[in-house]
Amino acid sequence: MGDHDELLPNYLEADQLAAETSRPVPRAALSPRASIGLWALRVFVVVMGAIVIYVFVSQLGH
Amino acid sequence: MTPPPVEESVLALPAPRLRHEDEDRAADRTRVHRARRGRRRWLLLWLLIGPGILAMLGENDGPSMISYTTTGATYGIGAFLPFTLLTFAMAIVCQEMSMRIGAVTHRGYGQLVLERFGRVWGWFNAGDLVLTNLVTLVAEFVSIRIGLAYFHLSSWVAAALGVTLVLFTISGGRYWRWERIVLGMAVFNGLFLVAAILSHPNWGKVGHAFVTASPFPGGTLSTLLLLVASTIGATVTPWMIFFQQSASADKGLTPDDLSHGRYDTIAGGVLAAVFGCGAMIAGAALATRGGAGINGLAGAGFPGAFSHVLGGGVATIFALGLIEAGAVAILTISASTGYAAGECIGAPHSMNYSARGAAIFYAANVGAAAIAAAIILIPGAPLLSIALNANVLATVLLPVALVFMIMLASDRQLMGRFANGRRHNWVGGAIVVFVAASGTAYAIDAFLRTVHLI
Repeated sequence: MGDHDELLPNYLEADQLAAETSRPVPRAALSPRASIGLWALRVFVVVMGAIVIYVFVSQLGH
Repeated sequence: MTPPPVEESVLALPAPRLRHEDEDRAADRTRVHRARRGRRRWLLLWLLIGPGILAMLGENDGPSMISYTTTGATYGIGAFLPFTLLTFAMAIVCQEMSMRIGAVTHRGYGQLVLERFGRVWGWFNAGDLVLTNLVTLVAEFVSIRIGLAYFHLSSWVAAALGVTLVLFTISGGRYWRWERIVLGMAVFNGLFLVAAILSHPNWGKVGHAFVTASPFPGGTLSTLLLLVASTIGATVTPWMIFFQQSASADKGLTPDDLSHGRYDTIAGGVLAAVFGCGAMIAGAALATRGGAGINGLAGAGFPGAFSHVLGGGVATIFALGLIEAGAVAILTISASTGYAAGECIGAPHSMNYSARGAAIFYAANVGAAAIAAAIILIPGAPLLSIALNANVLATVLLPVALVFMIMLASDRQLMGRFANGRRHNWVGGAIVVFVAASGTAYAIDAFLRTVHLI
């Protein structure tokens, strides 16, 4: 890189560089309430997913 | 170039190992820095707008505009004009969070969900996105095909046009170039407003509808649920969340840019609401003029119906609008697919790379569009059913994406002082409950009808 290019990264934040953003963030520590909420979300997804796929495929058949 | 004083630069560290995307992004940030330092407000705004407007106008896509027009033609504007404004207000709240997370963490939604909540949710969100994106992309190609059919052009032209646009826009290996080309195209979403004006609506009735939310449409409960679900699906979708967060990070937005990111999001929401209402008002003209073209309102008949009732000019504008709406959505939705694939696999995912530097990102981007293009060329494929159900499918799967977005936006470890406050979370929670209730009610109603229980 030339002088011009060497200056450019100065306008980026430290945590904005690709090497930094590709570093994983730690896993979230979920509260019991949040864990229960996510399990409820799983049930919602499974039930709704099954319904939507069934209806969608049925409509395609017609 | 004059060297920036160390105290002006956000980063004054020994030069780290730079990747190509860093250099391009730094060049963009240099212009932002100079505009801010020179107090050139309009230039700064011009440099920082993009992801919000593109997410909002990208969602004013072919199926959405057909949905708005169908609503106007079938039920009139009545309660649906203010309801559309409400859904865009919801979209602005959601997209602001999406932009804020991207600007503060510099990471995309797919990556953060995968890393913060584990592989199951990360891949579920990505899978949800890919599924709804593919269905929606097919619908976008269908809308381009409908528009082109008015000019006697075949589905092959629609397929080639969509894929060529994707290849052309990403060919520069530069986020800024991609964004500006797509923004330039998105301006033509205003054609729907032109169509509305040329349909000579009764503006007094339009104003009355906005103020009183009446007359309330008649019809069965299931029809009403379908319209509510599809109107929500026409306004807030999973791909918008993925797209705006990833694009904000790719553009290089920082916490300093949050106010401009909000202007960008609000401007996008307002423009999209105005243009969406334009499509609805134009559609209402079909209902009030008693045109024969009201038959076959499932989208394909609209340009012909406008030609019959309002003349060739409005029909041409509407057909061109459908082509634009489909084309811009293909570009933004394909991009969101590319971002999601790159983020979840952990591969480079920036428009600032060349095709070689981010092969998975670009392959997913082009591949999604190419698969959808191929599907519309299959003889006898149930394209209409796909197009009509795309918005509803997105609505039913939307609550999951919204829940994780709110959790990320409230995460103080990630967001620090930019995390959601309590009021923000209440509003976000209310939106999730409203969207989930609408989608669930429609899905259950549709299921009971399918199995002939009601």
